[in-house]
Order: sequence, then structure tokens, then C-alpha cells
Amino acid sequence: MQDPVTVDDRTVDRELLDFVMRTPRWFFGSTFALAVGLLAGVLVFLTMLNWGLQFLGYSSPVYWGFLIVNFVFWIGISHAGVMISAILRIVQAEWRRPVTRAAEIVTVFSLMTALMFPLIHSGRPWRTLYWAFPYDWIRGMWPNPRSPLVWDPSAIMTYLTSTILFVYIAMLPDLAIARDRATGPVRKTIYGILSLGFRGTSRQWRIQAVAGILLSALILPIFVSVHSIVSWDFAVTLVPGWHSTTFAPYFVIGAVHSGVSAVVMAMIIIRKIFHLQNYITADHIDSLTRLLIAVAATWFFFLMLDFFFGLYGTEPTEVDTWSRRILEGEWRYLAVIFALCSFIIPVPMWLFRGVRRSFFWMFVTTVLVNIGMWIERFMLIVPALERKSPLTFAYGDYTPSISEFILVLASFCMVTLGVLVFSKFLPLMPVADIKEGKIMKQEMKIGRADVPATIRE
Amino acid sequence: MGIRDNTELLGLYEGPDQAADAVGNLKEAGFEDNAIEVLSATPYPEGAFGEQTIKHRLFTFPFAGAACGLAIGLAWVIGAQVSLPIVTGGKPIVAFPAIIQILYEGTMLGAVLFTIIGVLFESRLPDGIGLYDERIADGYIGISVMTETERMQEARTVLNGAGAIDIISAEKSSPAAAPATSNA
Amino acid sequence: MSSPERAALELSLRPAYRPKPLRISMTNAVVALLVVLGVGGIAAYVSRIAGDGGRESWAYPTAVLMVLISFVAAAPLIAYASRATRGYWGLPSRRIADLFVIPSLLSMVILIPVMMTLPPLKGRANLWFDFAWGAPFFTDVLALGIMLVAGLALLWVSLVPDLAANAGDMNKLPRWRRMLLLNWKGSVRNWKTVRVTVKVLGAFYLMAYVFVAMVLTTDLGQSLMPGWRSGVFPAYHLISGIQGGVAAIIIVSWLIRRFSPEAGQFIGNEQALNLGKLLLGLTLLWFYFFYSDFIVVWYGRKPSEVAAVQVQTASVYLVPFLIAVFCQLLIPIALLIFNGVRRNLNLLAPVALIVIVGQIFDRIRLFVPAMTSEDPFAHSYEELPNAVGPDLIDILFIVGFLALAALAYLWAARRFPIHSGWELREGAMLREERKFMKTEVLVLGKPD
Repeated sequence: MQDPVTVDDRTVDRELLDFVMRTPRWFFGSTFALAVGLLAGVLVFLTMLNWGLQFLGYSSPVYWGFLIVNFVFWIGISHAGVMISAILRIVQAEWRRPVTRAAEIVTVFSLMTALMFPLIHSGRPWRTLYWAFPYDWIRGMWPNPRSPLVWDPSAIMTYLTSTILFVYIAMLPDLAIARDRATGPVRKTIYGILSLGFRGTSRQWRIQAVAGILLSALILPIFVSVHSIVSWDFAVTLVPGWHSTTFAPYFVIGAVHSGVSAVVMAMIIIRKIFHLQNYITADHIDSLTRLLIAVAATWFFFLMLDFFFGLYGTEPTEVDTWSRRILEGEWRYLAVIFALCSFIIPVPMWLFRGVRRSFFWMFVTTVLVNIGMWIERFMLIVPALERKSPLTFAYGDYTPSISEFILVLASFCMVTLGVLVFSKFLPLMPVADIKEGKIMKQEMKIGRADVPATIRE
Repeated sequence: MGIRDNTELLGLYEGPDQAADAVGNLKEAGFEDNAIEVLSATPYPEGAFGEQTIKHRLFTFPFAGAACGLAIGLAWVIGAQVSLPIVTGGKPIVAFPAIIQILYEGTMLGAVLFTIIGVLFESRLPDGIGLYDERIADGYIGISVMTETERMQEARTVLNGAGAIDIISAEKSSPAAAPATSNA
Repeated sequence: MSSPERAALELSLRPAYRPKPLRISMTNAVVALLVVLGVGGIAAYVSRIAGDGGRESWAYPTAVLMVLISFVAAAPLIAYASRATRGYWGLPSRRIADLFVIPSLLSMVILIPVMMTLPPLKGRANLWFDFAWGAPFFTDVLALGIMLVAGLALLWVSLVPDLAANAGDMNKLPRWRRMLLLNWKGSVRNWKTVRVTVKVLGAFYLMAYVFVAMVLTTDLGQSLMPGWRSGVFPAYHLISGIQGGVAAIIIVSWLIRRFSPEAGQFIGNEQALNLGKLLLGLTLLWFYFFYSDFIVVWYGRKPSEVAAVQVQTASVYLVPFLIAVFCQLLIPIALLIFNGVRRNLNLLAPVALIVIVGQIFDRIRLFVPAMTSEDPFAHSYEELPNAVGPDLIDILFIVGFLALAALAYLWAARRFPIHSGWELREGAMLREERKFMKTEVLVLGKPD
């Protein structure tokens, strides 16, 4: 049962626009701290530009390390926003309302962060212009559309563009409310321009409803394609441990697993720091967690498929890669942490209603999932590269450098800073949607029982 | 005579039932469906105020966009490969399995972009023409009626009769944005 | 607002609506034809058992087995999905889906002789890592058996409230029948138990089905064909099976609406729209899994894998592959993108039939080359084999067993209520049309 929002419209506006309209002191401190973290990353990047990729610790055969792991990780996090928003809109689940905007914004900033990493990783980012775009056709320098590395920017840019436009269109009513509530002339003008004069006519609301479902239906296939295309960066090669047909669905479902966990984590934090206890309730976390259980089970199925069919052909190089991942080598301890954090600890806990409805335990378990899934991407990429060549003289080992850790930290700062700054200008919860939920809420009397009900949209 | 003298009136109501009554009364008084508009800060189920059903062609936009995106994607992908023909791994220069990703993304991007255009078009946005009042964001419902100047008083009477707390009007001989007068 | 089926809203709660089994005349020409074909199928089966043909002679029967595992055994999953998501649209479809477990029993009849023709595991790629626990015969038969038992249990539990309601006074029934009906009284505890049990059994059936898909597709497919190594193939088979399951439910729903006014009154455009959306989504997913498999092989260009794909797709079994692509992908997509087709059961049913036909050819192109491969112990094809066409017995087998599956379903529909009365009544309680200001809205109850 969903707890209905019982406050009046004006209170809803005030509570949800509170952080937009006034700035608490902690905002400045936290923004500064996050900016420092981001700046450290920028300094590392600039140093890398000067010294080359060896500054980050890359050499043969492991040229893909933390940066690509982080790229895949953030693409994964970005998946949940659209998935939650789009699928829940399509099935018209009432509990989506407080969750969608925050999930979409996490998607946008995660995607932007993810996009940084291949650019950093190229060592000379300006050269990606030749590589991805028909920049220098006069000299006949055309990109190679057969390369998965060209598919990546096309997919990510499509996804990013679609998500930003989707969020913007869905935000028009809230921009109109912000325009009406704003007191300063500058804010009023900016919100007025951004809201495009939205007045809330019947036509505009009807188109909003239809557009929500239509755009959701269009974005869902894009979301599936993005991480599939990222997975094919690995799968279309012949590197042992990568040459697997399961990679596309495995990556997608893994992305949803980590992404939805990240959204749950974000919702719990947002609820706490923005005092949104009236809007984000245990019911929402419970519903998201039930979705997580189904997703985690599916992810586990694909993990088993990847594992069993990796060993199925008993090819020596494939067996060796799996062996190095989980039985021998320096990474076996990480494999244990990965298994515990991604599945063994959180999923059985989620089967208990008390855990699903506990904000503390859900925060802990979702953090564990994201740690585990980060490690999973690492386990996928690095052990395979260390022995990618069959020639023993081409073997190598990988040790992450401090600069890579700083870049990873900077990525987390970038996403958090982006979401925080966004929330300063626009509400993290769709105000009009919340109010619509109040109207749609009904009750049915069956015998002596009052059954919660909703108007079907 | 080339420019019509139309007036828009906007009545503000405290509750949705009164607003619905206002719409009904306006229709009974002979005002056309497409002259009556309901403004609210929250979406209500379609037809809740007795307003006319909205017809739109939003579903045609994604198809058009997808076709454009596919065409552009096809041209780019085939053109790029033919212009710089590099044989890699024994694969043909233009091979369908290899180009399907770009075609797919182009198609979907085209569909989404055209859908956005369609949303703005069908929503009649940007909208700077109609009357609006900031109290609508407070939860008041606005009933707007566009009528000839001769019937303005009649419309005002009907709106008042349904319990409007305020009526805003703007003379319209050319598109104007701001409310001109407010009569409680 | 799209209106729900009027009958669903006006469903009688007092006196309680009790659906009956379908009235199907056994002298009907179509039924008679099915019987004739079914007899032919049995004759073909006996001929194969009695014959001394080896694994190759069971190639087309294996394809039929995998067709049965696909759309027939997958159909009950749709009922589980509808129950798990509490989708109102699925109410008339749940029993229709659950009953498919009866024809899926035929799969065990085919599996046992097929498993006996398989070569030993040692020396060829397999999922069992050469374990000597009777794999693959014992393991696969056990897995399928567990799945079928779970499906039967699910059907049984979901039938109990309806059968008990039709049985009259429980105290007057013989003991064995009372036990079969779980001493049903309709108490609060009884209802709670049946609701939880159908969900749990449904989840168990899903897990069993996934496992069966994984082991059978490997043991009867990948393990026998040199060079075929695809981790995503079990998932591909699973998704295409569910696609076929949805198609089968659409076809049965159309038949019920067409030929049974009493049962068909609950089936309408609401069901069509939702099943149509599911079918479209699954069609897209079919392509996604197919492409995930194909692109890795196409890019990797490992000779062994390329040869396997050439056999199944590009060269040897090109014709069945093309038929499968047209029928499972191109035609459905071209039609299902239109709302008008998805909303109309009369237009949706032919699309569903085309999907089923495509699935049959898809299973032929996947499993016939595996079962007819000359050397399952080889790492790769030395040269591409010739396509093995069906002989008369194979054709009789295919047509006959599909007819037997249809007959088994008809038998079940004549024995058991075709709709889940208790779920329809529950749904009727939780749906209501109400006046909301100046319009009518549909209100849906969402109990915990």
C-alpha cells in the first residue's frame, strides 16, 4: 500500500521547491568539497596530457584498466534512471512518482561522466574527433563505422540526447511552477524561458501524458542498445574471457542491477538531506527492492551462463582466464568480495520484508552491490588482458596507480556535484506528478475493508 | 475587419467541481467547445471538466523521424565506408551486420528528436499568447473562454455564476501576452 | 479512457460466476482431422522407436521436442507474469496459459528415446564436465520431469477453487476426491494459501523452465554440433519460447472468442492490446538475442564458429532460417508496430500463427544439423554438411505431434474450466467504474 501524500498543493510546492528557493549552509561546504575532488581529477588529467598514458600506469598488455572499468560502471549506473522511469510509466505503476526525476538526473550526470573516460583514455582527446566524427573529410579521414569504438559514441550520444530531452519535456510543468513561485526577476525570466510558456491547458497535459509513454517506449530500446554496444567493445574481440555471446544481455542486466541499487541509495540520501519523508516512504524502497530481486536473479542467471559456457568448450585459454579470475592469481580475493557484495549478502537479505522497508539496511546493501559491481567490471576486464596473448613473453601484470584512484574518486564527485547543483535550480521530485498522484488516489470499500485504489490513466 | 476583435476571459475557481460547472454552463450558453480551455497546475483525468476530447497526431512524428534518421544513418555509414575503404578482418566493405548499430541509433535518435518536435507542436509551445494567472500554481483552476467582444459580458456572467473568485480579461485584436484587466 | 471488457465489470458475484469447461464437439471436422493427424504422429513415433536408425533419425523429432519446450511449455509463464505483476488484463488469459502444461507432457514422451541416441559425453564439449551421474540422460529427464510436475501442481492448485465450487457439497464427495480438492472450504486461510501457492509454484516453474532450456538446448544442440559455442543461446531459446507462448495464448484466445460466446465474453481488445504489446516486445528481444549471438561470431571469425553459423544460418539451412526470420521477426514487427493491429484480436491471431510457424522452422534449423552431425566429437566442421530434409515419417511426426498437442489442450479445455473463475471474481471486486467530476473513470483496487 502506498502512503498517500496528504498535504495540500501549496505545501507540496513549498516542500519540494524548498531547496530550489533557499540555500542552506551545508550546500556551500559540500559543493566546495566535491569541487576539490573534481579538481584533483582535472589536475591528474592535465598531468596525463603532458606525460602520456604511462603516467596512469598503462603499458602492454593491459591498456584498459580503471578508466575503462569506470566507463563501464557509470554507463551501468546511468541505465537505471531511464529503466525505472520508462518501464514504470509504461506499466502505469503509481509508486514511480517520487522516484523518476531523481533517477533520470542520476542517469544524465552518470552518462556525462562516463563519456569523459574514453576521452581521457585516448591520451590525446582531440584526436577522437577524427575517430568518431567525419571531421576531416577533405583529407579523406572518415571514421570507421564498423568499429565498436565508433558505435559507442553514437549510442551514448543518442542516449544522452534522448534522456536530456525526455527529462526536459517531463520537467516543463515543474518549470512553470518554478516560474510562478520564483521571486527574483532573473530567476523568473530564466524559468519563464525554459518553461516555454507552459500554462497547464488540457491539451498540454494530454500531450504530456502521451509523450511520457511514447518517449518511454522509444528510450527503452535505446537503453538496451547502449550497454550492449559497450559490451561489444569486448565481445567482438578474441581476447580469452571476452569472446562470449552472453556479454550484451549480461552487461545490460548488470547495469540495471547496479543502476537500480544506485537509485535506491540516492533516494535514501535525498530523503534524508532534503527532508522528503512525506514523499519517499518505505513503500517506494520496498517496491524498488522487489524489482531489484528479480533483476539480481536474472543477472545471476547470465553470470552463470557466462561462467559455464566460458568453461564449456574447455579451451585452455578460456579455462585459464576463469581460473585466474576466481581460483589463482592475485585477483581471487577480489572475486570473493565481488560474489559477497553483488549477490550473496544483499539478495538473501532483500527477501525479508523488514530489510526491504529499512532505510538503513537498504542503504548498506545497495552500497555493497555497487562495490561488488565495480569489482565485477574490473574482474571482467583486467585478468583477461593480462594473458590476452598466447605468447608467454607478452604476459603482463597490472597494478592500479594513485592517479587512477584519483580519477575514480573525481568521477563520483562529478556525478554527486552535478546532481547537487541541479537540485539547486530544479526540484529532484516531479511536483506536478506528485500532485497528480493525489488526484488519482482513490479508495474502494469491499465489505469492511478499505482497499487502496487508483484511477487507471 | 481583417482582424477579428476577440476577447479572452479567464475565470479562476477554488475547486475543480466549480470549474467543471463553469465549463458546463458555458457550453449551455452556446460557447463552442474549442473556445473553452481549462488551465490547471495538475493534470486531471481526461474529460473531468467536460472539456472536449483532445485530438492529436503525435504518433506520426516518431515514424517520420525514424525514416529520416535511418536515411541519414544509411548515407553516413555507407558513404564513410565507401569513401575510406579499409578491409579489416576479411569482412566486406559495406556489411549489414556491422552497420546495423549506427543505423539503429540514427533511427532511434531521429524518432526521439521528431517526437520532441511533435510534443512542442501539439502542445502549442512556446506559448506566450494565452491568459494565465500565477494563482493557478496554487491549485486554482482557470477556465478560459475566447469569445467575440459582443459576448464578453455574457461570458463574464456565466463565469461569475459558477463561483469565479476572479475574472481576468484581455482585449485581443492582435496576439497579446499579458493580462490587461482583472475584475474580482 | 479505454473501456474494459463490459463482461468483466459486470461479472456476477452473487450468484458467483462459475466458468464451465468448453463444449467441444468430438464430431467436429477439425477435431476429427486432428485425431487423424495425431494417429499419424503416433504411428511415426512407433516407427522411429522400432526402427534401427540412430541419432539422425531422431533429428526432426528433436526439433518437435524443442518446439513443444518452446511455445507450449512457455505459455504457463505468461500466467505467472500476470499474477506476479497483478495485471488485470491477464485475468482471462491465466487459465488459458496454465492449461498448456497438459500438452507439454508430450515432450517427455519424445525426450526419453532421443536421449538414448546421444553419444557419450567424454571427448565432446558439454555442460556436465564429464560427470558420471548419468548425465545427460538422467539429468535432462529429471529436469524436464521436475518442470512438468511443477506445472501440473500449479495447474492443480489454481483449479481447486473452481473445481470445488462446481463439485457442490464437499461432504458428499468420496474421500479421494475431497483430498484432490484439498478439502476446500473457501475459508480465509484457504484463499491465502492458494494465492501464495500459485505464486510460489509459478516462480518454481519459471526456474525449472530456465534450467530445462539451458540443459536441453546444450545437450541436444550445442554439444552435438562442432564449433557451436554460444552462452547466449539458452537465453535466446527461452525468449523465443516465451514469444511463441504469447502467440499460442493469442491464438487460443481468438478461438475461444470466436467459437464460445460464454467464455469469449471476457476476451476483448484489452487482452489483445496487452498481449500484442508483449508479442512486439518479445519479437524485438528475439532479434536482440539473435544478433548478440551472431555479431560475436561474425566479428571474431573463428573458423569453427563461423562454420557452425554457416550451417545454421547462412548456407546449409538457409531456407528454414529465412522463413524463421520472416515469420518471427520481419512480418510481426511490420504489423505489430501499428496500434490498430495490436488492439484487434482478429488481426493479432494471424500474426501469432505466423510466429508459431516461424518458430517451428527456427527449431528445425537449430537442432536438425546438431542431431545429424557426423562427428559430434570434432572441434570444427572439416567441410560443410548437406542439409538433411524431412522424410515422410518426419513430416508425419511434426504434424502429428502438433496435432496431439492441440488435442491434449482440447481435452484439458473440455475437462477443466477455461477461465479461472476465482481470479476473475477477485478482479471484478477490484475494478469499478465511477463518476469523477464530469467523466467516468475506471478505478482499480491495489490491495497489498
